[in-house]
Amino acid sequence: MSELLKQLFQSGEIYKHAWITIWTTLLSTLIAYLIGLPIGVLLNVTDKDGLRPCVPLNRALGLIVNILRSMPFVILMVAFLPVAKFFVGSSTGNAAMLVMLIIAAAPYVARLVESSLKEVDRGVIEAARSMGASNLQIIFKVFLPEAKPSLIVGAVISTVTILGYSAMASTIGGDGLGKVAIIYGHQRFNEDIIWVCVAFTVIIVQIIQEVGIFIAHKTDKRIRKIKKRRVL
Amino acid sequence: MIEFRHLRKEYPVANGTLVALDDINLSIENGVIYGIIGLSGAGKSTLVRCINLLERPTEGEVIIDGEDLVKASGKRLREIRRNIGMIFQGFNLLEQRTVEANVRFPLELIKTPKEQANRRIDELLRLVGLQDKAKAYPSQLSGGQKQRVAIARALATGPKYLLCDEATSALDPNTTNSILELLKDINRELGVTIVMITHEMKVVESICSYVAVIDKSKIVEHGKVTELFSCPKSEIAKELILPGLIRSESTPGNKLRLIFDGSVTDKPLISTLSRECGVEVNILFADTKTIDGKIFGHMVIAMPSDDRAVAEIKTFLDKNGVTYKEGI
Repeated sequence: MSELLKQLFQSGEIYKHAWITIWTTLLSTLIAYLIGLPIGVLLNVTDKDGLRPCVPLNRALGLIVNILRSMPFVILMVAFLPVAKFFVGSSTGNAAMLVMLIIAAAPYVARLVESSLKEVDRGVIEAARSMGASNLQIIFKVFLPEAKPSLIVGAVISTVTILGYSAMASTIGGDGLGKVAIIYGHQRFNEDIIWVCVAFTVIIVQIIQEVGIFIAHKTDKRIRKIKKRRVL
Repeated sequence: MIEFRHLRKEYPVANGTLVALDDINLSIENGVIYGIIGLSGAGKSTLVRCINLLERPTEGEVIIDGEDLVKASGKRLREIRRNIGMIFQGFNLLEQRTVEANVRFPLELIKTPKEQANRRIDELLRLVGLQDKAKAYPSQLSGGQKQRVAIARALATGPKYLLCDEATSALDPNTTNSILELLKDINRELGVTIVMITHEMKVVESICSYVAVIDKSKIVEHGKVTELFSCPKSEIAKELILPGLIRSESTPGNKLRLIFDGSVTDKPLISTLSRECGVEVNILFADTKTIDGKIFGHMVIAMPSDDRAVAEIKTFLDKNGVTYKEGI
């Protein structure tokens, strides 16, 4: 065991960074959902077969989402530095990292939500319309509750993806396990530190997955439930 | 009353337009069970969806109790839809809600107070015979039970009309009968006007009093079920009543179709006929059932070539009150 690794454990530094990775991931996923969920609903609703078709709006939203989705995270971070500066007053550090994670995650979340909603049986939507439900009632009482298990699985996938992004955020001075692995591990030739970080992330990802899929499975009332063991 | 006036529905397709409904004119009186029968692709599902405007007609009027739905505003249309329940072939229940919560759904939409909604749900589940399944999820129910939940849900807001889109097509014969009985009760006891879309003559025969036959986007024939059954005019109606195979079968000699509309009581009719007229009777096809001692359905028999024997058979049938049709 390298001296530095011992130090990291003794000072609690490693736990501090693991904790930062966890909360930045969860917080940015949450905020990404606040933005991405309505966009995903809008993408579904304005689709040409949707509840309220509006092709121009659908195309425009789809284009923005596609552009953001196709940018590799490392490039997105440097490209959007001014945006971070505008929102949090700094283009480096943890606050800037959060902004970047949200910008990257929101369009991803929007697409996941859109596809979850597509899984809802059209016959059920038709039945709701036949009962005099308004579009808003259909969204809140049919689409979202019926797609709940699938939405939860989507949330697990996005959380894990964002956790992966957060490791790259050390590029702009964000803390977390990524920073420990790159700066203390890779750059100072302490391979054991890298592997400790790997172990931490594996544990975190496993916990998120198991808990998330358990909840999704538990809430699903269909016969063909969301699978308990699912490759994410 | 439901009225269609010059109803036309077109769909844009890759190479032009598809006419799903062509100049439909039809009136459905209150209180009846009205069947709309046709083969798949004839346009019957589109037609029933025009009643509550799930499909907006390209041209024409849909008039319910004097009001043209095509001209109604979005809000008004949603109000009208609460007066028109609908059930489907695929049941279309909310899978993540319990039976009780499914029935509650339409009541939630109009913000019915909880106490009142609970009472209504109890009432409806008792009506469809599923009180004990209130807390079950649709995935735990059989097809027939799911359709019962769908019926309870469709009736929650106390509609005057109930549309059934192939409601029994996914069910086995026994379950089909029990659902048809339930619909009949609902019609009789609650006075709900029922419009049944189906491709099965059996369904029409067993519960409908009126029927419209739809073929290639047009209504080719409509009227009382008994009339259509004893004397179908269109090819398609004949096809629906008797499979083409039996009609075209090259059995030598003439054929006679005997129609039982319940006026004949259950007795060994054919063997009596055979004995009294001294002829051998060959039954080519039979689809009859006995309800309360009366015979319903029809039967095709081969006729002897001897003219005198034929006359005797006819006299016998007249005497026994059996309707018949020559040459099917």
